[in-house]
Amino acid sequence: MASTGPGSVRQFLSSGLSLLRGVTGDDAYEKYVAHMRGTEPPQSPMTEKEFFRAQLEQKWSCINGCC
Amino acid sequence: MYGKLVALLLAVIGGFALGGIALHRNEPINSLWLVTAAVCIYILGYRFYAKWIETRVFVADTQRATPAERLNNGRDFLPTHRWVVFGSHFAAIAGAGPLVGPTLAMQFGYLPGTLWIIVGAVIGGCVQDMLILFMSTRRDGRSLGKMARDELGPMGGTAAVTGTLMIVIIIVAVLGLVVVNAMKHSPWATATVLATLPIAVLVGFYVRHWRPGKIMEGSVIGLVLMLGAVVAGGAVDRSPALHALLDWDGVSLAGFVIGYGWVAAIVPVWILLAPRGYISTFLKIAVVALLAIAILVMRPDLKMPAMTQFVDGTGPIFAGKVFPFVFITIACGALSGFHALVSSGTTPKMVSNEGDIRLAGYGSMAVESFVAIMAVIAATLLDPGVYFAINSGAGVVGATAEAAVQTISGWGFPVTAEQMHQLATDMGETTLFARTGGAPSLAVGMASLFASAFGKSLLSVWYHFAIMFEAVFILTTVDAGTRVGRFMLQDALGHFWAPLGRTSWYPSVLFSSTVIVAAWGYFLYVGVVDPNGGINILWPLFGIANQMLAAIALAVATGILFKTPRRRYTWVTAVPLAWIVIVTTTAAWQKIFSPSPKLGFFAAADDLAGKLARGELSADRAAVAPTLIFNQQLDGYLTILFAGLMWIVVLAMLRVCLRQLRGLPVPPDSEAPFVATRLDAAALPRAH
Repeated sequence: MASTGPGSVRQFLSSGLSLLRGVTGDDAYEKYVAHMRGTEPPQSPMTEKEFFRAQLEQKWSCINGCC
Repeated sequence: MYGKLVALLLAVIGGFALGGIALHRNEPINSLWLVTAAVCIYILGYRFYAKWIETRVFVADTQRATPAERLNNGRDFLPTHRWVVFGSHFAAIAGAGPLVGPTLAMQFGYLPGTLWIIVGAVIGGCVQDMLILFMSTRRDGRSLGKMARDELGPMGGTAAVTGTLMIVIIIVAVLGLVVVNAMKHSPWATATVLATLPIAVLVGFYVRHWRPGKIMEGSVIGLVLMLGAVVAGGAVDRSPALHALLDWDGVSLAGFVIGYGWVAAIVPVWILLAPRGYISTFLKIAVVALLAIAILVMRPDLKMPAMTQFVDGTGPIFAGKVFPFVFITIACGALSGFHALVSSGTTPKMVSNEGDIRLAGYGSMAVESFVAIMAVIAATLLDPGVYFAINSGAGVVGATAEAAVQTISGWGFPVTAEQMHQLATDMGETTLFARTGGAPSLAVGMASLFASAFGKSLLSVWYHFAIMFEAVFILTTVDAGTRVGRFMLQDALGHFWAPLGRTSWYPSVLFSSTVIVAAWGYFLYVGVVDPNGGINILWPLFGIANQMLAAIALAVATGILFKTPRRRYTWVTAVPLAWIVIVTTTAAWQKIFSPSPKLGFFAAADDLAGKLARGELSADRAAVAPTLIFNQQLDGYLTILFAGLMWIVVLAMLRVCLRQLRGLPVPPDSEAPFVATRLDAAALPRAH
C-alpha cells in the first residue's frame, strides 16, 4: 500500500496534466508529428512554427465556441 | 445488481431532493437541495436515458470507423481520447450564457428556473447535443446547415444558415451590453479589462514567436498576469487621477467595445483572439471548480422565494409571464441551439469511437447545466431586495437610490439605500444600483461565496475577479462571433461577386468585418442608451433566436431519425422539439402582438411615439426616442423573421416525414458508408 500511494497520486496528477494539455491543444504538434511519421510512406511534418500557424487559421475560421 | 442498487438509491435521493425543492415554502431552503437533486438526476439521465438512446435510438457502432480515423490528417481530424473530447467540447459550449440567463430568470423565484435547467437539460439540451454530435460524426463532421440542406432540402438549409448568422449578431450585441454594464463607472473593472488586452497580446507573442506552440506555458503566464491585473485594478481605483481617467459612461464603453471588436476582427488571430481563448479555457475550468467547492463548503441558504409575484408578467428585469419566458431566458444551461453548431463543428472530427459520443455530447451538457445551477445559487443567496436593486433598470424602479429602494421594498423585498451603499463599498464600486445584465449581481454572489469560503477580507478583489472572468469570456465571444459572422457573410456574398467570397482578400475582409461589427454595434449602442437598461429587450430577442436554432437542430435530428428503421423512437427528439416550438412561437407571438408596451415590441414603439408627439418626454429622453422607436420596430420584425425561419425548417421536416409515409421520394439519408475501424482501442493516444 505504502508504495502504491504516492505512485497513484503521481499517476492521477500526470493524467490530469495530459488531459489539460489535450484540451488546450498544447500537445497538438506532438500528435501531428506522430501521425505524419506513422503514415505509409512516412511524410515529412511541418516545423512546429508552421504547424502552429496553420492550426490557428483553421481553428478560428469556424464556430468553435458558444456563448 | 450492485449498479442497480446504486441507481435506485440515486433515484430515491434525487426524487426526494426535487420534491423537497418543489414543496418547500415560506422559509429559506439550503442550496444543497438543488445540488443534490441536480447531480442525482444528471447521473440517472446519463446512466439510463442517454445509454438507452445510445443503444436503441442511434445505435452506436463501436466497430465503425469515425471520420477522425478515416480522414485523419493529424490536425483537425484526429482520433482523440474520450476525456479530452469531453473537456474540449465542454470548454467550447460553456461561456457566459449559462451564467447570465439563470441570473436574470431568478426574478420569477428559484423554482421555475431550477426545474427547467434540470429537466430541460436531461431530456432536451443533452439529447440535442448528443444526437447532433452523433449525426455529424456519421456524416464526416458536416455542419448543421449542411445537414439541414442534405436531409430536409435547400429551403431548410438556407433557413438554418440565415438563422445562424442572425443569432451570432444578436449574441455578440447582448454579451457586449453585459460587459459594458459591468464596466460602467467602474474604474477598477475598466482597468482590469483593459489590462487583459496587452496581456493577451503578450501571450500571443509568447506562443507564436518565443516558445512556438507552448500553449500551457503561455496560458499559465497569462493567468498569473490577469490575477495581478485584478489586484492592480484596485490601486488604480484608489488613485484619484487614474480613477477619473477610467470612469467611463455607457456610450464611451460601447464605443470602445465596438472599436475593439473591429480591430480584433481584422488583425491576425494569434495576436488577440487565440491567446485569450487559451486563458479563457483555463479560467473556465478553474472557476467552475472553485464555485463548486465554495458552494459545497458554504452550503448557503437561498433567500429568494420559490416563486415571486412576477410570474404574472410584471417583472422589472424583463417583461412576460413565467410561461413562456423562463424557457426563453434560460437557453444555455437547459437547451441551447447554439450548441448544435459546436456539436457539428470541431467535436465530431475528434471522436475516435462512436461509443465516446455519450460522454462528450450528453455529459458535457449535463456539466454545463450544473454550471447554470451554480449561477442560480449565486443569484439567490443575495437578499431578494439587493438582487432586484442591482438588476432592475433605472427606467423601471427610479433613477435615484431613494426611489429605487422605495419601489423595490414596496414589492415586499426590503432593501435600504445604506445597505446598497455598504455593499457597493465592500465590493469596491461606487454604486450597484441598476447594474443590469446579470454580471454584477453574479459577481456579488460569487464574491460573497468565495470570500466566506476562502477569506473574508478580499471581497472587492473577488468581485473584480468575477467581473474579469466574465469579461474574458465575453470578449472572446465578441471576437470569435465577429469572425464567424464575417466568414458566413463572405460565403454568402461570394455567390453575388466571387472576389468577396475570398476569405483572405483584404478588401473583402475589411468590408465584411465592418458590416458585421456595425450590425451588432448598432444593437449594443441602442441597448446602452435605453433608459430601461437594454437587456430587457435584447436578452429575450437572443433567447428567441437561440431557441429557434434549437428547434432547427431538433427538426433536423427528428427528420433523420424518421428515415431510420428506428422510426418509433422519433419522439426522443420530437417531444423536446414540440415543446420548444410551442415556447418560441408563444414568446414570439407575445413580443409581436402584445398590446402592452412593456411586452410587445410594436406596442412599445407606438407608445413611445405617442409620448414623443404629445411632448410628454423629458429633453434627454426625447433625444433618444426616435432611435428607440426604430429599434423596437426592428426587433419586432426580427422576431417575425426568427419565428418564420423556425417554422420553415419545421414544415420542411414534416413534409419530408409525410412524403416518406406516403412512399414518395425524399432526400436520401446522407450517412457516410460503413468502414470497419482498425483502431486498436488500447493503441489510441491516451490521456496519461
